[in-house]
Amino acid sequence: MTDEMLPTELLTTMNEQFPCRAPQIRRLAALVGTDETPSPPAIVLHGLEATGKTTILRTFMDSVNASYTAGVTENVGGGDAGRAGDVCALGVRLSGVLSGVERKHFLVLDRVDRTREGSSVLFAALGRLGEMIPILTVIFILSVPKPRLLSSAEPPHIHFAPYTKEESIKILSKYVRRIPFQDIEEYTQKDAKEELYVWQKFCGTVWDSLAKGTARGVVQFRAIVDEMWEPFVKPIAEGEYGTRNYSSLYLLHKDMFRRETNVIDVVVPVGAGEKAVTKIHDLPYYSKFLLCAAYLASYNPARQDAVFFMKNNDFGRKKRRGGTTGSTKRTAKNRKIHRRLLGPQAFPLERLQAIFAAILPHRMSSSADIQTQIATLTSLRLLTKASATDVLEAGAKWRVNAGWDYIRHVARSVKFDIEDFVAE
Amino acid sequence: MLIIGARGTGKTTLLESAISDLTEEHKGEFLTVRLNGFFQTDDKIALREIWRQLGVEMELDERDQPKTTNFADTLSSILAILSHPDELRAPDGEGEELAEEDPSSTTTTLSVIFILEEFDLFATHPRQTLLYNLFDIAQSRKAPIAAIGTTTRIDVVESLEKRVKSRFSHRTVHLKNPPTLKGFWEICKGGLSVDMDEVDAEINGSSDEDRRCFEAWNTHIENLYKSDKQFQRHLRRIYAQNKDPKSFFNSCILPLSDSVTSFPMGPSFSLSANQLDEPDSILSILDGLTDLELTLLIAAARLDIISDTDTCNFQMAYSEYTALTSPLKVASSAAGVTAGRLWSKEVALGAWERLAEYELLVPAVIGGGSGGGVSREGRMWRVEVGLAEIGKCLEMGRAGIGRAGLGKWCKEV
Repeated sequence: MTDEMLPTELLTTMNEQFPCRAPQIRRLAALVGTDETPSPPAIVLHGLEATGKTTILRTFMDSVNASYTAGVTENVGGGDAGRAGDVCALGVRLSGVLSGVERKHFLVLDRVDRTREGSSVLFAALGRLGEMIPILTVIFILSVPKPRLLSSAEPPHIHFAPYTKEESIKILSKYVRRIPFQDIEEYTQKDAKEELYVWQKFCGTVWDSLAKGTARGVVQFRAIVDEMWEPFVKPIAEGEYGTRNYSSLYLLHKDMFRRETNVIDVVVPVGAGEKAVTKIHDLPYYSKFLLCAAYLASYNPARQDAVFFMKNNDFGRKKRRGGTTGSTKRTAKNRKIHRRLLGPQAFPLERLQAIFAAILPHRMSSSADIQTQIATLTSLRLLTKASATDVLEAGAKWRVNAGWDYIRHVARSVKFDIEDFVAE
Repeated sequence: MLIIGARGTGKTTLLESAISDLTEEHKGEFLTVRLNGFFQTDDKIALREIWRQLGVEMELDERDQPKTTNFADTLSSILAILSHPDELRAPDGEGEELAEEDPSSTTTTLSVIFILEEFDLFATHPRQTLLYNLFDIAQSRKAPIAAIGTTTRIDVVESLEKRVKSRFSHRTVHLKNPPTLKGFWEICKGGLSVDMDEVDAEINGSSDEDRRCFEAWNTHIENLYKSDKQFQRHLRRIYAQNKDPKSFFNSCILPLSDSVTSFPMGPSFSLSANQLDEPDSILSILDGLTDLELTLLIAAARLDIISDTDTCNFQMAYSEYTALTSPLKVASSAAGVTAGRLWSKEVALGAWERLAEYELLVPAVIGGGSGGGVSREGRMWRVEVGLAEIGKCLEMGRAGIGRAGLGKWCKEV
C-alpha cells in the first residue's frame, strides 16, 4: 500500500515552494489522493484572499497528474452557469463524458461565492454533482465560508488560514530585492546576506506600521514593500549608511511610515467614477445657491427652518455665528446620531424653493429659470429624486447627493456662509 | 410515500439499498427515475429529465420524443409508452383503457419507480403540476408507478396543494438520528471497521495474514472506543453537536490516510482537532481581518447598541471609530507604538467596503444596487455580527494575536 501513497518528495517540494502551507497541502493530499484512493464528492477550500488557495490547488493537481477541469465562475456567472436548469444539463453531459473514464475527475470551481446570480439551489446542485457522478469530485474555492452553503451534510473543508507576521515575512524573504548600490562590484554571498537582513527588518517595520492595520494579504503587503523599498535603501546605496545600523536608518525615514500615500493606492479600491465627482462643477450662480438650499433642506430638520431662515428673526444666526462646525462628540448614554452622519433626508420641492429664496442675498432676477436649473442639477445627479412618484407630482421628494466638502466649496465660491445655517 | 429525516440519517442510502435489493430480485421488471429538487428546478426540466432517463433505459430513439404540447399529455404519452411499447402512438383515451387491463397479462408492462429527492423543492414549483400528475396516475392505476420522496422538512405535507394532498397516500416513514451515544457509535463503527463476511466474499484467497490484519484493525477500533479518553470525548462532541456520522467520518479521513503506512502495526490515531471541520460561523474570518477592518467592525457593532438602530453607514462608523481611537492614539504615541493608529477616511472606506465584500455587512436597503442613489459613504448597512460575539472571539484569542486590547471596546459602551 505504501507505493500508492503520494511520494513524500512531492510534498517536500510543494512545501518548499509554498512556505507555511504544510498542513493545508497535507490535507489536500489526503483528500485528493491518488487514483486508487477514494475522494469525497465535494471539497471546500476556504480562506481570505491571497492565502494561496488557487495556486496551491493548481500546482498540486498538476504535480499529481490528476485530471481536472477548472472553471472560474466569477465571470461566467451571468451566463449559462447561472441558471440552475442548466446544472441539470451539465450533470447529464458530465456523466456522459465521464462514463467511460476510469480515473477520478475533479471539477474545480473557483470563487463560486462571487457568482452574480448564485442562488442557494445552484450551489446545492453543484455540490450534489459529485454524489450523482461517482468518479467526480467538485472542489469549491471560497473566500468567505458560508455555513450550509451546499445544504448537504458536511463536506470536508480545508481552511487556508491568513498568514501571520512571521509567515508573511518568511514568504517575502523569497523575493529579496537588491539594494541598488552605486559602485557595483562583485555581488558576493555576504552582500546577499546583508540584503536579506535589511529586507527582513524592513518588512517587519512595514508590517507593524502599515500592513498590519490595512493590508493583511500577502499580495498587498508585497506591493507596499515594493513601493517603499527603493527610497528606503537609497542612503545605503549611496553609502551614507551601513547595512547594520537599521535603527538610525529607520529614524531617518520615520516619516515614510507615518504617511498613508503608499497604502492608499494599494488598499483603496478604485471607485467607479467616485473620484471624478469631487471635482467641482462650474455651475451657474443660482444653481450654486439651489444646491446649498438643497443641502440645508436635506440635513436640517424642517422644524428648525423658522429659526434659521425667518428674515425678521435673527436669533438663529447670531447664536450660530462663530460656532464650530466640526463634529463634536458627546458621550452620553444612548446618544443621538449626528444628522450629517445619517445621510441626506428627503424634502419636498417647496421647501427647497423656500430656503432658496431665504438664503439669496438679493432679489432674484426675473429672467432666471429656477425649474430648469433644478432639472439640470438632477441630471448632474447632484439632486436625486427620493420618492417613486412622478416628477411633476406635488408630493415628490428630493434629496441632495453631494457631500459636505463639496457643498462648502460651492458655498464659498458664491460667498455664502453655509456654516451659519447648518443645524448642529 | 415519503421518507422524512434530517441530513445524514441515511434516507438515500435506505432507498438505494432497497432498490438494489429489488433489482436483484426482479431484474428487468422495473425502471427507476431519479429526480432531485436541486437539479430539476421546474417541472419542464423535470419532465425532460424523466424522458431522458426513461429513454436511456429503454433505448428509445430521439425522434420518439413527443412534441412539446401540454404537460399532462406529455406525461401520459410517456406512461403510455411504458405500458405498451407495441402501441406507441396510442391516443390518450385508448391508452387509458388498455392500461386498465390486467398488467400481468401483458408481459411488456414495466413498473416505474420515481425517486424525488429534496421533495419539498418540488412542492414549490408553480401549481405542483408534476406532483399532481404523478400522484394522480399512481392513485388511479393508469400505469404501475410508485413515487417516493425524500425530504428533510417535517411539514412537507402541509405545503402540498389540496388536490395534490388528497391524492397523496399519506404514507410517511420518519428516519431519526440515533437516540443514544451507543447507537451513534454503532453507525460510526460500521463505517470504520472491516466487515469480515464481505472480505471473505470479495477476496477469494484471503490469506490468514490478511485476516489477522483486519481483525487486529477491528479490535483496535473497538479498543479506541472503550479505552481511549480522547477518542471518546471527540465522539461525544460530534454526537452533541450534530449527531451526523458524516462529520465523524470527515474527521477520520486525515488520521486514516496518515496511518495507512503503519497499518499492520495497529494504527493509533488521535483525533485531537477536527481539521476538516466546517467553520462554525462567519466569525472565523475575524482572524484574517486587518486591525483597521476589525476596529471599524467593532465601531459599527457598537453603534447598534449606542444609538439603538440596526443600520448604520460609513460616516457613522467612521466617527465612532475616530472617537474610539483618538484617546488611544495619544497614549500610544507617547509609548512609541503605532497600535491605535488613526487611518484617514479613504483608507477606512476601502476597509469598510472590504467588510461588505466579506458579508460582515449586508446592505440594509432592499434592492440596493445603486444604494438608492446615495453616495458610498451614506449607504446604509446592517452589521451581521453582534458586539458580544466579537468580544468573545477576541477574548478567546480566536481573532488573531495581540488583539485582546480591542476587547475592551466591545464591553464598555
